[in-house]
Parts: sequence; C-alpha cells; structure tokens
Amino acid sequence: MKQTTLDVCKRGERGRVTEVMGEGALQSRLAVLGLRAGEEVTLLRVSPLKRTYLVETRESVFALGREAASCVRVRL
Amino acid sequence: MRAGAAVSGAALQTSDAKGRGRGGRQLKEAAEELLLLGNPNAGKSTLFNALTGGHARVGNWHGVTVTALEGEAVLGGRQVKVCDLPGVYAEEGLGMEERTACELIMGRKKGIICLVSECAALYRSLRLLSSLAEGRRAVLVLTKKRQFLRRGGRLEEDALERLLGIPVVSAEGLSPRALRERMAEALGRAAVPRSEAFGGEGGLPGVYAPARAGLTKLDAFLLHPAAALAVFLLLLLAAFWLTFAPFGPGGLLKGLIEGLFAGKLYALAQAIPSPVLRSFVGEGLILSVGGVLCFLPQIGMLFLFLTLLEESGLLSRLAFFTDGTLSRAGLSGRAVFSLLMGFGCTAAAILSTRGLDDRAMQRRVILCLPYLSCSAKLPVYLTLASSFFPDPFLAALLLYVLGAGLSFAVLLFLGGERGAPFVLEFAPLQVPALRSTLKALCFQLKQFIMKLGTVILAFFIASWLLSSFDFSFRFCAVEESMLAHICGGLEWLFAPVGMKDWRIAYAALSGLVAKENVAGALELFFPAFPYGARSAFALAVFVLASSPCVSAVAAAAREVGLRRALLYAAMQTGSALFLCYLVYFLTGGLHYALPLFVIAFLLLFFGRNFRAGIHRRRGNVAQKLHRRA
Repeated sequence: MKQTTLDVCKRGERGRVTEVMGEGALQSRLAVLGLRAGEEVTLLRVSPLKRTYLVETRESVFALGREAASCVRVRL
Repeated sequence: MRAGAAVSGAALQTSDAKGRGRGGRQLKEAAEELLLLGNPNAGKSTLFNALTGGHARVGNWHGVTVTALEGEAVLGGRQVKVCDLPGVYAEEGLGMEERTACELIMGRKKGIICLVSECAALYRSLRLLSSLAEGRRAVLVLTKKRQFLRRGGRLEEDALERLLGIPVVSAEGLSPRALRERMAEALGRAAVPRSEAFGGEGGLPGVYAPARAGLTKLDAFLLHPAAALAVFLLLLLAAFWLTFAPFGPGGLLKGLIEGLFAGKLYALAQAIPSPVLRSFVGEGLILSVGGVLCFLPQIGMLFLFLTLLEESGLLSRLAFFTDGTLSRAGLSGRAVFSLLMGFGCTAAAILSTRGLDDRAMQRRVILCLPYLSCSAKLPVYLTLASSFFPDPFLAALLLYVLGAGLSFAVLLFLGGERGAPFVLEFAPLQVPALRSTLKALCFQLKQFIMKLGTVILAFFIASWLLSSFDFSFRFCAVEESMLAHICGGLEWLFAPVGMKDWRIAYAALSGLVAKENVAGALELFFPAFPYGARSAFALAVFVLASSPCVSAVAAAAREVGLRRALLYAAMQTGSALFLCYLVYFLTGGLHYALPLFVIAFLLLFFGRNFRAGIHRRRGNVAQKLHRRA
C-alpha cells in the first residue's frame, strides 16, 4: 500500500483518496465529482504527453490536468 | 447574434422566444419565475427551449451555456419567466460563469428553483440543491433516463417524489407540448424539499440505484491515441470533402445556385429597358447577392459538421487529447470548444470564451480566434481561390491550415501559462439526435439568410449607389463615381502587392462590417478577377488575418472591454497588411523577402523576451494550487 499523488500513477491503477489539496474552489469541484477523502478512484487513461489524466470515481468520469491531478493524494 | 442587455452582476440576455409576440408587453414583477439550476450538460437549455420556444444554444459538452438567458413561457395559462443558467457544480464556483449563476440564484429570492438533473447524477444534484437553495420551493426534472436505465440504474419516480416532497418530472421522450403541460402541473405543486432527503452517504434505498460507471466499449476504443487521431483526421477529411470538393454535395449545390443567379436571373435582368434599373437589378442585386447566397450550401455543410461534433460528445475526448499540446501554447483543453466554434462564427466563439475560467487565457484565445477562418470568409476564399489554385479543395485546405498555423504562432508569441486547473467531465457519447441537429442547422442558416437580407443587402445597395453615380447624381462609369472620389486615396493600400486599385481596398475593408461583403464587393466590381495568382493569394491572406467583423469586435468588447477590443482589431488589421505584403514577396522571389523576413524574425524574437520581461513571475503553478484554502 503506497501513498502517492494521482499524476504519477499508471494506467489502470486503483486506489483510495486520502487527501485533496489545493484552493477551495478546486477542492469543491473535485469533491462534487467524487474526489473526496475515502472515495475510490481509478486512473483510466493517461494522455500521450502525460499532461492529462482520465479518472473514474463513483460519481463520474472526467479529465484532469496535471496540476489538478498532483493535488490528489491516493493510497493504492 | 441574439441581442443582449447587460445587467450589472449577472449578464442577462433576452431570447427570441415566441411568448414575447403578444404586443411585447413587459413582464410584471408579480409573475412567477423559474430558475433552471443544475450541473453542466444536464439538459437545462434543452428544457428552456422546450418551455419558451427559444433558441438557447445546446451541445453535448460541459460549458455550452455561459451566460444567463431569460425567456417567457405560458404554463397552465399563466405567464412564467424562465431563466436558463450556466451549469453549477458547487457553491464555490471554479469558473466565471459558475459564479455568475450562483450569484443569480442567491439574488433572486422569489424564484422557484427547477433542479435539472441527469438520472445518473442525482446525488450531487440534490446536494447542490441543499447547499444553494435552502428553504426555497423547488421542482425536480430528470433527464437522460433511458441511458441511465440501460447502464443498470434503477429509479422510482413516485417514490422519489414522496421521499423528497417535491414534484418530479421525467423529461425524456416528452414532446415540448407534453413537457409544458407536465411542468405547469408540477409548478402548481412546487414545495420546499424535505431535509431528510439530502441524507448522508446512505443514498436513497429502494428508490434509486446508481448506474454502472466506467467507460463504454466505444470510449475504450476511441481513447487510444492512435484511434482517436485516425478518427478525427477522417472526420476532418470528410467534412472538407463534403464542403469544398467540386463534385461533393457542397460544390454541386453551389454550382446550381450560381447557375441560377449569374446565369438565368442575370439574363432575365438584361431585358430591363432602363440602363439604371438594369444595372441595379443585374449588378447591384442579382450578381452580388447571388454571389454570396450560392455559398449557402457550403456554409451549411460546415455548420453541420460542427453541430454533429458538438452533439455527439466527441468534443470532450478531443479536449482530453489536445490539452497537452494546448497547454504548451498557454491554453487548456477547455479552449478547444471555443477554437472549434471559431470555424463557424468568430462572434459566437468569443462569447463562449466566458466559459474559460481564466481571464488572461481568455484574452489570448480572443486574440488568436480571428485567424481560425469563420464561415463568412469561405465565400471570399473560394472566389479568390479560382485565381490561384484550380482546385478549390486544395486552396481551402491551404488557407485553413495557414490560419491554424498563424493562430498557433500568435499564441506562442504571446506566451503565458494556463492559470486555472483543467477539470472536464466527459459527456456521454451519443449519436447526434436528428431533430436537435436539424434545428441547430436551420437556425444557423436562417441567421445567415437574415444577415444577407439586411446588413449585406444594405451594404450592396449602398456600394452600388455610390459607385454608379457621380456627385451630380448622373449615372456614370465606376471611375467617375462618388465612391471613386471618396476612396481614391485607398489605391495605395494594396499597390505593393500589384493591385493599385481602390476597389480592391474598398472590398477588403468592407470585410470589417461583415466578411461576406468582401466576396460581394468583388463580384460587384469585378465579374472576373483581373489580377494574377500572387495578388489573389495575398488578398486572401489579408482577409484571413485582418480583424473580424463588427459583431465579433462587439462580442470581444463585452468580454475584455471596448478599448482592448478596438486595440486588438487595429493590431490585427495592421499585421494583416504586413503579412499580405510579406506573402506577396515570398511568392515572387525570396530576394525581395529577405529584409522582411529579418524584420519578422526580430519581432518574434524580441517579442518573446519583451513579454517574458514584463510578465510577472508566476512561479510554479502546482505550488500555487497547493496553497491551502
């Protein structure tokens, strides 16, 4: 079980969110989409340039830029 | 474009709703008000159109509606004011339009909240309702139920209604009339939702079971970068072929209309005895109007492609793939929507940039949008193209690629990094609904024809009048006319590119009013374009790079302020002239171009450093985001 941020994960890895850092507005948006502490998250795809991540949560499927992805700590 | 009336705080627009027809009477304050609240892409604008008969823009991606839109509906015999809002995820909005919507909801305390929610996203919609609209009367409208059921979700509407204490309407599959009836009935029973309904993580047992999440098979295939690229290139090629190929539908229909106007109708006009009237009807009306109208099928094809792209949901996938490249140019994947819309209409694309949650990025997008040739430039390109490229398909391709390249160059020159984080929900892939696609297409075509019948026609008539009569109102040749005297000085504008002719300058500058005017003015003055390939190409480049039309500048003024918008317009037109000269020299022989090349290179090089110097050090963006709230 290792702790890491979402932007260094590999395609297909699944884990649980431990913490979402960042500004309040970003935290709200990510929380609404399902990235909250304790929720499950799966990394579906990574874009070719490794700048965009396709993420699946209980709530929805969405794309995340690298800056936002680096704010999400997960435990795999 | 829809006429707008900016109100302080939230910017509101009145839609061209049918309900307004009755004597245009103003809505009294006492009438009921319905506020459409919900996540982006939930179906609010579709509901708005069904209730009010309006033409709010719809598309299958998150962020179509960027300003509030008001309309009137007649529900159950009562007049109801309906307000379509941009999508909201949470009270603390991440984007500019989200915050606008929240402000509006908080401000309009007397309105009934109509929560519009996709069946799959019911939990977060209810949470949104509880955070934004505590203690207010509400109604729930559920959308996209078929998709939800297909993916394994379950929902009992009556039980949900009992549990929440507010009326629930499932909108899918209902005709607009049936929907209005259901809504009228629901409005009568609107109530304050029960607080137990927004319970904890337990969900809504027995009433609602969420659908299976994850990627569909089609998505899994499309999200392979190679597959995605192939599909996109294929679509692009298909769009180009349908629009520009001489034997494709676009080209053939154009030939038909052209034959009708320039052939039959013009021949009929020759029978008119009076020379003044003959010239007016023949050149002033038939040739110039016909010269622009014949492009209607091709413009239609272009809009069809864009509409299909919007309606299918492919744009979200495109944004996912292009986000990386775009961020190198200082934009984010979200900008891809506005950029693509720029190929349809620059003004509409500029208005859509409000969905970008970063003012600096918005300004850069607005600056580079005009280089992505809007559909109104199509007539000009194709009219000039026959002079420099026998195949209109290749000519159009060349000009579009040149435009995209210029756009990218401008972005790189401007530098800057994207400030706001990129978060974009994936809209579900769907086959574009025939009805909404046709509706959107007809709307665009209607706008084009209306524009043709008003602004453009007025311009042609004015041009014909000024160019056919001299100052003593005698019917004369073009060289002695009023226009020749007024615009004579302009002949130097394009002299360096081999066209020392005020008529060319006049035609080119008429594009500032509406781009279609250029094609029409060229038709009016030159039945056959007399200048060679190099000049034609240089003129096309000028039109490509010059400031967009007045409506686009007005849209830009709404977003970035009048002074800046005018500054952009002046800069773009000036640089367009420079580019026009440069291209002419380049195609003539490189030795002429060398000094200009050097100047251009120096500008680019110093421009970068100049900007880096005055650019405040923004620091690591990630670091900035890690700042605790």
